[in-house]
Amino acid sequence: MADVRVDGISKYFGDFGAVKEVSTVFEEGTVTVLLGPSGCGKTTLMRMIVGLETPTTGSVMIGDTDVTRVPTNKRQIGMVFQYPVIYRGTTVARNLELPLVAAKMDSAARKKRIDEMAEIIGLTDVLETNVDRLDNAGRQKVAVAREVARQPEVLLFDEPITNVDLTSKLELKRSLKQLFTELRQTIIYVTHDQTEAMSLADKIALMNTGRIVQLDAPRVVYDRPDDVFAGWFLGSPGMNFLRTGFVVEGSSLHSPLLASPIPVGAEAQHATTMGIRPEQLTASLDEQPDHVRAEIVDKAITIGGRMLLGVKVQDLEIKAVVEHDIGKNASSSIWIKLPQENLHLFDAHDRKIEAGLQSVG
Amino acid sequence: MSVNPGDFYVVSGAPSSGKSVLLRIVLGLEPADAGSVYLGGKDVTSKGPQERHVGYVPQSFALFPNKSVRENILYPMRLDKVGKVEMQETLGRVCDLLAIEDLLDKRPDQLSGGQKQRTAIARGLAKQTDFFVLDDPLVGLDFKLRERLIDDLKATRSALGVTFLYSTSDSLESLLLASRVGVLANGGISEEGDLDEVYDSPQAASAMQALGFPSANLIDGGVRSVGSSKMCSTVLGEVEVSGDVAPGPVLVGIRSEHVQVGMAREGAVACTAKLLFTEDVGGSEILYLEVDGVAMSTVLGSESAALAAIGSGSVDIAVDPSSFVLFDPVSRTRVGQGVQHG
Repeated sequence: MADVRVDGISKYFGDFGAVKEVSTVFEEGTVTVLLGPSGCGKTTLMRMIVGLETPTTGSVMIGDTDVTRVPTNKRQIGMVFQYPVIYRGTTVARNLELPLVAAKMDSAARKKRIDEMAEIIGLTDVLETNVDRLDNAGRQKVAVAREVARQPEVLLFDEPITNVDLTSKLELKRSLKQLFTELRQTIIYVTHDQTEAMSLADKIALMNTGRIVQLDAPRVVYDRPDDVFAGWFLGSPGMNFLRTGFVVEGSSLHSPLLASPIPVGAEAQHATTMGIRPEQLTASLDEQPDHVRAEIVDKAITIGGRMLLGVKVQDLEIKAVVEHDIGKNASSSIWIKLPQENLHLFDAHDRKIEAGLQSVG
Repeated sequence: MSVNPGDFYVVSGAPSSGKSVLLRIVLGLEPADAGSVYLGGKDVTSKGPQERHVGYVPQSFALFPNKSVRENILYPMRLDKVGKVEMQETLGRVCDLLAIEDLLDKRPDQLSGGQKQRTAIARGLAKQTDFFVLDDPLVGLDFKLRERLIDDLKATRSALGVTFLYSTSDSLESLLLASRVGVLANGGISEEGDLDEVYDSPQAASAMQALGFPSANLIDGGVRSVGSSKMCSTVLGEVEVSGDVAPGPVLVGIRSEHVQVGMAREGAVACTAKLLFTEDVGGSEILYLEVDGVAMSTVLGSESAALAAIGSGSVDIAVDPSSFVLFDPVSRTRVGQGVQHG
């Protein structure tokens, strides 16, 4: 097992920079999820780590070895793709065994390793089954187990759940989580799905337009986004952003959305955008201290029966996720509060401003 | 089924439950074996699609690859021989609604998936009519794009003051979009009504499951008479029930969010469940559980204190009797509900 370091790595296709000057460390024994929308560069970055793509600039290190010029098959990397790569027409056990035979492992050790793998990922009952008789999720489990069994230094997963049907997705996710927890391998996992990332990652490396914009634990990326993109990309729906409708005067932040000004640090004067997550504001049917009255312009039901409201204060419209009964019983207006500790400020470059908001809450 | 003026009517049903066929019958693209279609009070069953004047956004949007976005949107209007001035006005309006003004001179191969989808929706909406059929137009798009287009579609319908008949198999999409819903199951509409009514008091098991994210729990139960009252037992425990319930097997529906975590309230049935897996969906967490071999789920806000108190392996859950909805196991229609004491 080893960590993976990329240093100043870029990939240009003509003038188009798919990956731009990325330097980061994928820590040993950690599941790092490369997350981002299509075209953000996550797949290109992964392909350079595997050796399927040659970087335009920069280097890739696995542990202490510079592998930038090392061919893929010499890099000690295991890969799991969108579609399961397995040997058809033979049993699950044989699929797991062949790479171990190639690695010259003796038969007792092979048997032990195969049984362990099958147990962790949930293949024990089908070890003697022909892989052709498994569904897509089952075959993907075989592909995963086969790569893991030969114990490479690093394991890479490229959207392994995307092509599995809806009913099997959960089962496969659960197996992967179990595997990741028990193995503590160095894993780099590529997906565009925030739920997968939030549920499977130790760390999320969030990518946008060829760069990693934030690398943190999932809840940190969610609760403390480093930039506007991170606030928008995670969440269902994403963060509300106000480009107008607030003003910083001295050490106070004023807005029609706030019942009274709140104290902010000096840095806040550079703020051009204010953000709040729809489910992180508080709502009440009745007038409450520190709340402002908001007009309801839209209602829908969302995850867990909570209500997604479009609410408006003067001409400022935001989304609010509130408890089912509050949303259902509210008719034309509702009282809302934007708790100071849940507010976020961003500068003209959309980067987070530390304005002391969170520390006060 | 009936769609009223100004509805955002969502036909919700599993993949290949017949949604597209139903919509194509309404459009006149598919003949009905039996029954009739009325548009604005007129029987159009024997009329062709052209005579029905319905706007259409199909599931697989075939844009002309050699035509610009502008020409793609104008093409159906040219076929309809719409006047020049009106054509430009309509073009301006739909482009504004879907924010594609900047794309007008591009060709489809220069567009991203989302831009293509918006162009296809714009083309469907660029019709001089007040009734539009949209057949699962967001299927296969990534999550964030769908979030954006859901907002666009709602805003578009309300800005134009028109009627949408829309199909999807995605339960969250149904919940976010619909004012009215029709749930398609086994080739028929199992339940129809205003979304909030169907959500709060479902009359069909299929409706309770289709309209809910995560999907409602549907577990086996057994009803027996005890004196003058009736009791329903499940893996969760036994609760008193009311309604037209005969002793024997029933299906019990319980919304995920009604499975509480932590200390049981007075009158609730409680037990300990095995915690299989937790999924963080951004702002909420879905807990997948197993109670005596029966799979269940619950959902909590990420900020919930109960969530923070959960260890690994097992979790204490409780359900209020009033959250029990009883369905006949054969007809799968509602026959009763739990009785809350205290």
